Amino acid sequence: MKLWRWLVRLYPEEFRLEYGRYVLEDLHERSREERSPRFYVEAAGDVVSTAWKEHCRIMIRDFVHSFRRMLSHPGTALIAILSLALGIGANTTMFSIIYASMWRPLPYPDANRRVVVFQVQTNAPYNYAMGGATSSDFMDWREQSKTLDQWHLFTGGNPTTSVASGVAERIFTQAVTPGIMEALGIRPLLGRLPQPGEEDDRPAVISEEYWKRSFGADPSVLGRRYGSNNESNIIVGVLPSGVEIFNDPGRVDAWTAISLNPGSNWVQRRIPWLLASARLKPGVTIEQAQSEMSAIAARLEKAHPATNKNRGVKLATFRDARNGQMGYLLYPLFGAVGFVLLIACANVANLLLARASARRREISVRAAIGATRRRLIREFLMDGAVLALPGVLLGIGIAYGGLQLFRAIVPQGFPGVALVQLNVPVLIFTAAVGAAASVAAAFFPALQGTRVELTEALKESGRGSGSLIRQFLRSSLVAAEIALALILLVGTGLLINSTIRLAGLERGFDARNVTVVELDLAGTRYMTNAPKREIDMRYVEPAVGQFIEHALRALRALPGIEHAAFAGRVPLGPNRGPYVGVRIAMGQENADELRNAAFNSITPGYFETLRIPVKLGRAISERDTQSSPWVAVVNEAFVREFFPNGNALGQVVSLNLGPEDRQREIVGVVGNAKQSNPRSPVQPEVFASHFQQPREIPGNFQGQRFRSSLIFRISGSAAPSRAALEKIIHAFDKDVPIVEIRSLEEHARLRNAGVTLVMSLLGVFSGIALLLAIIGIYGLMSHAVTDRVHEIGIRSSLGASRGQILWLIGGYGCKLAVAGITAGSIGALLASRALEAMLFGVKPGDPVTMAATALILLAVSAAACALPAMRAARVDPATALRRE
Amino acid sequence: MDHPSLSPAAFQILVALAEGPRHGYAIMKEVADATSGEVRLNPGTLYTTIRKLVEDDLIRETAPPAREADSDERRRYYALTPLGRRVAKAEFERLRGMVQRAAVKLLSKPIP
Repeated sequence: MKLWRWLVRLYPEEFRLEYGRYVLEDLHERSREERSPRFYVEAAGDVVSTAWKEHCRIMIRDFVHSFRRMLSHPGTALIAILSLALGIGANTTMFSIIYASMWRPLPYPDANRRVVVFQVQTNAPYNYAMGGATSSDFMDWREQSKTLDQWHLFTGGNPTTSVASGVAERIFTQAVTPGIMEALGIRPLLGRLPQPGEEDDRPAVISEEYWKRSFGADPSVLGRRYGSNNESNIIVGVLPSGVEIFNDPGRVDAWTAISLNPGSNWVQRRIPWLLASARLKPGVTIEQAQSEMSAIAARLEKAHPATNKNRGVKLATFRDARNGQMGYLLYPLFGAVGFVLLIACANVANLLLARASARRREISVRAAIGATRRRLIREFLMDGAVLALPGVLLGIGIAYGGLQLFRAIVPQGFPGVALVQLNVPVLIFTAAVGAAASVAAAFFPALQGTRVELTEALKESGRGSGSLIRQFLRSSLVAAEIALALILLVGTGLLINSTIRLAGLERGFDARNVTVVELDLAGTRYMTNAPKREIDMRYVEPAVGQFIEHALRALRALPGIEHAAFAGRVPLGPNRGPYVGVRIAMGQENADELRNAAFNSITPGYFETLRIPVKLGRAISERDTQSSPWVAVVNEAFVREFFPNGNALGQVVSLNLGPEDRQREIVGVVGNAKQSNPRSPVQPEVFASHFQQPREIPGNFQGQRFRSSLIFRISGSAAPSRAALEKIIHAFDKDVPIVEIRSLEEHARLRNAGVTLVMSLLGVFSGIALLLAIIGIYGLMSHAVTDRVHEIGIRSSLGASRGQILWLIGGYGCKLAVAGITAGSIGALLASRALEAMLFGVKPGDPVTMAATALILLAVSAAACALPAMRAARVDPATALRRE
Repeated sequence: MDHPSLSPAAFQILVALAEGPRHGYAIMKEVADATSGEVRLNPGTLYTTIRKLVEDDLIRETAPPAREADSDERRRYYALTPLGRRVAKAEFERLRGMVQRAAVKLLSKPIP
């Protein structure tokens, strides 16, 4: 019977050799006698279950043996376990970060079929990528698309001022089209969800956190109005905590309704600032939907040339749209921890190889008396598992600490940071990594240690360091460790190098001693909604001018204030400036073409505060008032873009700031100030006085006027306290909240926080890698000295000098280091390209960084060899020879 | 040596060997006959238990009894060790005690 033969093979070899034949014979005999199907089932089940038990028994026995062997060399075992724990801990840390921010399943039904539809500018000029979609285009898409359903619009999280709980507080709101919550499977904790059709009644739902924080979890919150005078919403429900609509859970306090009804302020085709989401119909691929949507976009371009010229459409899955640029930050780090683990495995492999050579006689004897190679290999693999198990447990502890460190240095708003934790998927990953590491570490030792040339091994007196292959293997492993450590160190070096360059960058303004106070006037009496034209319009109330004048006067009266100003945008700081269409009035070839420039509404004193030099003409001054001729100041990038011949002064431009805007004469040219991203070129920017603005402005410019930054420069002394600033602001208007106070240098640090994060983590990882590589090379050298103590004794008794003995060991180590560094340099040339997007001012294969890193590594390797080499030089020939 | 975990199969094997050495298949038959087919050891259980009993020195391999009629040279014979006999007895006492207690409680009279 083939079945029985096959089943008996399930037993472990050890059992099979002893009893397999009898089990098989008895099975045959019994099946001849009984012939009942019940017997077959029972006997087969019996074989399977007892075979499984035998395997378990042998595993446990081998584990216990390995464990005892480990205890007999506690020092080696401890080093191996710590190495693995560091490697596994680093991997677990990175995996939990990447899992939470990028890979975790999104909590929506059909999450994989949900897409975000972006509008893109097909002729893509400098740096003007459209964010999302316009509501009018959205309605056309929804009507025309046959491949997508469940269309919804939503915004990001926007700060607003709410007085619902009795005090003015800053909350984050997100506007969504009613129905999106049902589509995403969100259920209210209390009350109900806003329904389609009631948008104009302004229904809103609030988060559980906000409900508890500001309303004391009072159920009578339903029906209460929240918001400020011009945007008051009625609370109809409370959502449970953890709701995320494209934002991180916990980021949004309240959700309001987007109305697409005729006459709604939301409806417009100009500014694509909303986000559109839809679901692929069953069986539709994203490519099919993309080509359909592109065709629809082309039709809309023909139908609405004024707004939709060069406006295309791009689909991205929810996951891709969310992850955005996270990958370029996190994947290099994931690669880095992979290297750390490889180094740890190489270390452990080396220790196991060393132990294998010590056990050669025992292994040979056991092989001679009948232990199969398979059994010996299994024992070696078990040695790996015995080290990996505590390594995994300790690694989880290290990861716990690593995540604390991560939370401490992670930049604000890093996606998924609240969800970073050691959860089940992370632990499964850790277990898998531990298993892989234990096999990886024990694989070579198992193959090498069990290859027994009987006569040779038994003949040798147990002193020999083993075959040349083993020697070569151990040396290669250490060289590989050095190579991997070098790659990580080069990566860290490049990021440090580019951070230093970034700090010394000539930005075109002076960020030192400048403080930025962010104010929110939007929820106050300074802004009212204007009658809607083709897009949403706002009235700027004249009182805003008085507020600004008062605040500046009071601030300048404080001691130590050198300059102060209001601005719509500040380089490096909060950047709310929408782009403004600029039309050159006359005399230019392309006079009628509307081109974009960054717009900045400022008060006199702005350039002085930031120390931006005026290159030509004059700055905005106190004499530029509502009634004097309106003027503009532009930066040099503007001149280069709009007036290639260089003559901008006296030119007249008009900006599309609504129908009341007037033509402005360019009266000054200022130097370029680098904005947030130092890697991209400076954009054209046009400055206009806060006091020369139309009363009625397009809604998307409201941030410029109402979310103003108050900036000031102090002369050496300490900046005024928050309380002093609040006193000044609230002396004129107690309803204006101060959103944030930060120095401009702090803003600069925040801007670079992503790269700083990568640099810090990569620094930690390469430090671990270096430490492990040192342990590796030190261990190998020490072992070499012990192995060759006899040879050293002979050499020195034959007259070798101490220097020669020193070089015998030290030179061997240095050769290894050089080999490792050479291989690592080639690896670093290739691997450092992964960091390219983060680098500033240095190229991936920067020779200076590479050379410096190589030298450091060489010095460290030499130091690690020094101790064993000196021990070798001190060997007393008489003692060494007597040891035989 | 304490044997708290003598499995039912192990006990049956020890009992089957009480009268003299037997090979595996004979143990299986002996157990089935003695319990009127109620306890059936399958080969997997039989030999893994034998392996354990040998390891614990409760039984040992022995030469096939030369004169016996059904002596089979190809098979491996097992015999109780003195320790195996003591353990089997102890297990018997334990089981008997248990049965007696159950008899008193359930039937209100001791089993003779």
